[in-house]
Amino acid sequence: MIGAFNPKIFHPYWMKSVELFTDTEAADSNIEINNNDLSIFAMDWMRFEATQQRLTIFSEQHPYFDRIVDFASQLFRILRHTPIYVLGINHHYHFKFKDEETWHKIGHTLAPKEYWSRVFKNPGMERIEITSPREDEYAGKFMARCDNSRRVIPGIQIHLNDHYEIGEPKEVIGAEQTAHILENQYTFSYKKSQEVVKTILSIVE
Amino acid sequence: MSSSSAAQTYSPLFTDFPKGTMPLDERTRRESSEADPHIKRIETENRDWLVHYIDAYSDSNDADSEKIEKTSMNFEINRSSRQPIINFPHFKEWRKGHFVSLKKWEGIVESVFESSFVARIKDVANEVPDERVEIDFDELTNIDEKKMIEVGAIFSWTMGYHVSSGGTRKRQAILIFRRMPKWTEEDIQRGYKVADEMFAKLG
Amino acid sequence: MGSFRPPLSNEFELTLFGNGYGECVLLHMGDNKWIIVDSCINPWTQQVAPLEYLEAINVDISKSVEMLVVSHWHDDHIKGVGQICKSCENARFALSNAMHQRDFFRFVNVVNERPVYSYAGKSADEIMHILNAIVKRKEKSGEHPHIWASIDKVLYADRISDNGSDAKVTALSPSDHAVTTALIEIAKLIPRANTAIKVESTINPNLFAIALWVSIGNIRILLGSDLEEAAHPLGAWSVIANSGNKPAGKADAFKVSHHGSKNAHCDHVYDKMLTERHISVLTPFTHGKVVLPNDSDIRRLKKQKCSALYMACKSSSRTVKHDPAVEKILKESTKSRKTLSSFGRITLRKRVSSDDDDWQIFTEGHAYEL
Repeated sequence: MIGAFNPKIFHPYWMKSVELFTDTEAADSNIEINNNDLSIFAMDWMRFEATQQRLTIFSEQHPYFDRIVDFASQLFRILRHTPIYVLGINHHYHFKFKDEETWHKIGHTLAPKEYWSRVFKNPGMERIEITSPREDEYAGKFMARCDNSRRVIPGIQIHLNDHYEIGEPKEVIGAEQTAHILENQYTFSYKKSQEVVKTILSIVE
Repeated sequence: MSSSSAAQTYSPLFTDFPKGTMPLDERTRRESSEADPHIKRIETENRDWLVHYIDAYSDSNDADSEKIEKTSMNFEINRSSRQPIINFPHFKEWRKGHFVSLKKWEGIVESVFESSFVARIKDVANEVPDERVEIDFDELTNIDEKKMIEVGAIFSWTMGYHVSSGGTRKRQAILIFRRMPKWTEEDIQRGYKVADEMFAKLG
Repeated sequence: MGSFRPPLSNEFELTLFGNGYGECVLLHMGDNKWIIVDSCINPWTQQVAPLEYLEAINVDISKSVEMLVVSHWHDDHIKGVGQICKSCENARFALSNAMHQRDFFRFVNVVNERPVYSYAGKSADEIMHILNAIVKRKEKSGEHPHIWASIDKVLYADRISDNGSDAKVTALSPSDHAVTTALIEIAKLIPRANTAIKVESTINPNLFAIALWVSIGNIRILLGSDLEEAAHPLGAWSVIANSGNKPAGKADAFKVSHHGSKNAHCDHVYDKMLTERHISVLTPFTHGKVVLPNDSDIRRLKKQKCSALYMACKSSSRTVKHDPAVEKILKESTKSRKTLSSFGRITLRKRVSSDDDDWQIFTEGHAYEL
C-alpha cells in the first residue's frame, strides 16, 4: 500500500489494544525496529513493514492469508483517516520442475527465441513481465511476472500484482475505501492469481 | 532513559499528513476529532493536524519493558526525512519455511459445547461435499481465539505440510477464526441507498 | 439417470430433491411447463439440483421453466436460486409478501456490502440475485416479472392443451398476520453500525413461508414449505385447514412442512386437506446436533393415514475419503465426523384426468421409503 503512514503507530501492542492481535500474537511478535520512519515486526505467519510512504504485509503461510486480509482491512477501518493512494495485492508462487527440459519449455513458450537466436548463441528467458488493464470498475492494472526461481532449481516463480489506484494523493483522505476494496476483491484476486498459474503451467502439462 | 521513557509512554503519537491530503474542511475535522476516540486535533504554528492519538502503551502492563522502550523513541513530528533508505536485513532470517496446503476448509460454527463445537465445513476448492465435524477447543491454532467461538463464527482450517527452510516436512492443520469486523455507518448508508432505489423500482 | 424419461405432456410430476440440509420441489404442470419451488445443490456435482435434473431429461430450462417460487429465505431453501434466475429466462418469480417492504430490501443490500465472508452473506447473496434479475427484467420489458405471494393469491393458472384441464397454483400463506409481523420484525434484521457482523439472525423466516396448493385436473397437491404453526397465534396450519376460503378438495400428495418437525404438525391438515390414501414426501434437515425429523417425529408421521411416506435422502451418509494426510488430520482432530453428501430425489407422476391411474413413484440416490 502506498499512502501517508505513521510507522510509529504500528506496534504489536497497540494492535493488541485495538484487538487486531490476540495476547499471544502480540507477545510472539518480534519487533525489529519501531520509530517515526520505520516499523518492522514479524511473527510466524506475517511480517509487517511500514515506512512513511509504504506499508507492506507479507505472509508465506497460505493458511494465514485470510487472517492477513482480515487484519489489514480491520487496521484501516481503525485508522480510517490514513490516506492510501495505491493498493497492491500480490501473490507469489514457486514451482519446481522435474527436469531442465520442462523448465526450458516454459521459457521457450513465453519468450520465443526466433529473433533472439539471430543475435545470441544460446538465449534464455530470465524474466518476463506482462501488464494488462483491469476489467472491473476499479482504476489500476494487473502486472504478472514469471522469473527463474532462486529457491527451487530448476523452477520458476510466478508473481501477480493486482494493482488498485485509489486516487491522486490530493483527493484521498482516508483508508476506508482501501479496506472496502480489499474485502471485496481479495477472493477475486486470489482466483485470478490461480488462473495465471494454471495458464502458465498448462504449457508443460 | 528509564525515567523519560515512562513520561513518553503517556505521550500521544502523531501522524504527519503530506500537504493537501489532510481533511481540512471544518465539518470533517470536527467529526473526526470528536467522533473517533483515536483521532485528536493538534494545533501547531502553521497548520492543524489530525493525529491518531493512541494511549495504548500506557495500559499494556504486560508488555515487557524492552519493547516499550523501543517504541518510545522519537515522539516529535518528524518533517524531514521523507524518503528514508530502507534495507530489510532480517527478511531472510524471518523466513521459517512454507506451508504446502492439501485442503482448505471454510467452517461455520453451528453449536458450541463446553469444550468442543460442531461446525459445518466447506471445501474452498469445491471438490468434495461439506462435512459436519465436532472439534475440540484444543485444535485451535491460537488458543486466544477461544472467545471467538460462537454460533455463526467463521473459521478457516487448512491442512497440509509445514516445510521448514531446511526441508523437513511435518503434517499440520491450522485453524484460525475470521475476524468479524463491525458494521460501519458507511456500509449501512450505502446499502440503504441501493435498496431504496431498488424498492422504488419494484414497489 | 441416463434412461429416465421426461414426463408426458399430460402427465403431472412432482419431484422432491433433498441433500440433508436443503430442499427443492419441481412441478411439471403439463405441456412441458415447469415450476421450481426453492432450490438446493447436489453435493456431488455442486450443480443446482432442479436444473441438473431438467437438463438430464432434455428440458430446455431457458424456455420451459415458467415460474420460480422462493418460499422463504432460509439457507436450506435458497442455495442456487441465483443460478435459476439466470438460466430460466422465461420464469416469473413468486416471493413471499413478507419480503415486499423497504426494510427487507435494506437488510439484503446492507448485508451485501460485505461479501468477504462467503458463508455469512450467502442467503442474502441469492436474494440479491433475484432482486437484481427482477429489476433487470423489468427495465427490459417494462413488465413486472414477479408476484408477491400471500394467502389465497393465485400464482399460476394455465390450461393443458391435451385435455383442457386447468392447472393452478395458489398460495396458502403468508397470512395477513404474518405479513404484518414481518413489517415489524424485519427491520430488526438490518445490521446496526458498530455491531459485530453476525451470521445467525433471531428472526425465523419460516413464519413468512409460502405454502402452496397445486391443482391440475383432478390432481391436488399440498406443499407445506417450512411453514410452522407459530406463524399465526391460532396456529398457521389450523387457520388454513379451517378456512372457508381454502381451495376445494383434498390433496393426494403432501410435501410435509418443515422436515416433519413437531412445530409444523397440525392434525386438521390431515383431516381436512389430505385424502387418507395420500403420499407424503419430505426431506431431512441437520444443523449442529439437531436432526429433523427426529425419532418421535418419524413415529408421528408413520401414524398418519397415508398410503406411503418417502424421504428424499438420508440425514447423513458415509464419510468421504480424502488424501491420506488430510484424512489423518481429520481423524485426529475431530470428535465426530459426517460427510454431508447425502442426496436423492423422489419423483411422483400421474396422468391428468384418469382416475384409475395410480401414482408412479421413482426414487433415486439416497431416497427411501419410511
